[in-house]
Amino acid sequence: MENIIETYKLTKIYGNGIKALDELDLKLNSRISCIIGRNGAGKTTLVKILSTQLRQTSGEAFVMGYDVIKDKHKLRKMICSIPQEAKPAGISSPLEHLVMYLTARGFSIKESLNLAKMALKEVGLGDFIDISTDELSGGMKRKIFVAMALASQAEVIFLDEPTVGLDPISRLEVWGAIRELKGNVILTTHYMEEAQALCDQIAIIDKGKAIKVGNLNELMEPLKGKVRVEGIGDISIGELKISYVTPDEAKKLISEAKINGNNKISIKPVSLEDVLILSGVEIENE
Amino acid sequence: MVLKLKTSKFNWRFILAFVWFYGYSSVKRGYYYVLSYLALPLSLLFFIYIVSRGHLVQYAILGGIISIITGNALTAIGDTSFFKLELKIQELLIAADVSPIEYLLGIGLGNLFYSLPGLLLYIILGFIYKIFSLQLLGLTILILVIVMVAATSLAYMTGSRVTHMRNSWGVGSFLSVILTMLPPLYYPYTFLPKIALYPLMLSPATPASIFLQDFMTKGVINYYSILILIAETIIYSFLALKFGKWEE
Repeated sequence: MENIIETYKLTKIYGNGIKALDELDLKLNSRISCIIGRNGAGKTTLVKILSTQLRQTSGEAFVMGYDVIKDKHKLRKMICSIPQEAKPAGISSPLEHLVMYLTARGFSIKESLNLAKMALKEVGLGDFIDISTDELSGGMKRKIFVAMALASQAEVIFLDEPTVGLDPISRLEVWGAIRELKGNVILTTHYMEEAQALCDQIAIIDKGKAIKVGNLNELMEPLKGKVRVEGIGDISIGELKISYVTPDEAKKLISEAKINGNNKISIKPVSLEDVLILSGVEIENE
Repeated sequence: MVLKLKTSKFNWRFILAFVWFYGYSSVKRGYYYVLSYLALPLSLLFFIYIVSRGHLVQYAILGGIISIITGNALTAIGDTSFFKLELKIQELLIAADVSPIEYLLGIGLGNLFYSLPGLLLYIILGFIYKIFSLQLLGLTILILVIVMVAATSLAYMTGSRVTHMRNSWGVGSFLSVILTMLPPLYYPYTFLPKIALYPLMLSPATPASIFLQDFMTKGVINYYSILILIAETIIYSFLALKFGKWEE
């Protein structure tokens, strides 16, 4: 399959000297791909460059084979980008938002009205199309933007932290809507369960570099047959000590700790969060 | 269903939809917007009526019309900052291939839309006080459109460069006072010494007011003022496109 996004030595240094991307090389080619990483890892900068809103300092970036600088106008006809923490204008209705956006993408007003109504109905906002968005809940407001993506008929849809700040139920609802999107989706998140639930391919970036790319199984491979032991170990996250060991080793560790009077030890199954933690440790050690 | 996207250079459909989104919704659901923009010109009209014992009321009506358009256009400072910094609508539109000029026109015409109730009220007052001939009304509308473009350009250039929302409120209020209260809108421009008019010409409201006052009182076309207004509209529009922050 053709790469949906490709970057070569992509670097972005902001005016204040902060290096957000550091010679990032990345290729993603799945229908729903996730870019995960800690706050400040460079996820939003990457999405802004890929969706032609921000110019890189150096390096190259391509979306569906189109250069984000040279072919930006062609590319913009193919993409839909929903910014991080985008909010609806409270006084306008969901329908007005969608029609404004869809005409911006080049649809006629009649087509935009039809597409908007269909998309709003599909995300469960069919009964609220003509009221002020101030009257909607946080989840419903977020769904307006998912409806934009749904109606856009874009080939590539960038969703930058689409569920940030939402309660668990609203998040599940938005996940459902994301799964319905027809185009290829590039999604950034720092919710590991979101990446696990939605994405076919996951890229971990840290300090502006891609440190791991693969599907969930591939990324979890180094932790296969291991559990996470909290309360003891070489890895420190704040006050928390962590180690990754086999279940037998974990039992042994717990017994030893109890003998030493340490009862604050627990065992948890490993998840994508642990891949991120270990990746961070590897970067630190380098 | 796969629809073909329009790829023409100028997206009027977006501009119309943006006016619906930004202007119509404000009038439909936020009538206090309309009232707030009417409050100052109407208060000044009342004040000038009392102070001049009705003699300057025609100036105050003409000035009120210009003030509504300029003041409303300058609110775009807050709106462009809000759309960019808080709502992220500017980012959304950049990636949808909207050009800054289409965005600027959408904001300007949206402002014009929610200025309409105020303008209508002033035009009715203008007819009651026998200010408007059809000719003056036509010229007033033309001048207002030019003022709207100039003031919206200034607003966009400023608003898109604001980095914190709080600053946009301060900058907006400051520019609003400079550009609508200092120029001779509510009284004859001849009250001011000529030397004071030169710096005030930087506000599009000043040449607009001089032009309309001359036509109202003497029935003459003041080519000097209309040329200044057109020139500064072109300059402000150019500056807005050059220095307004769109893509980064």
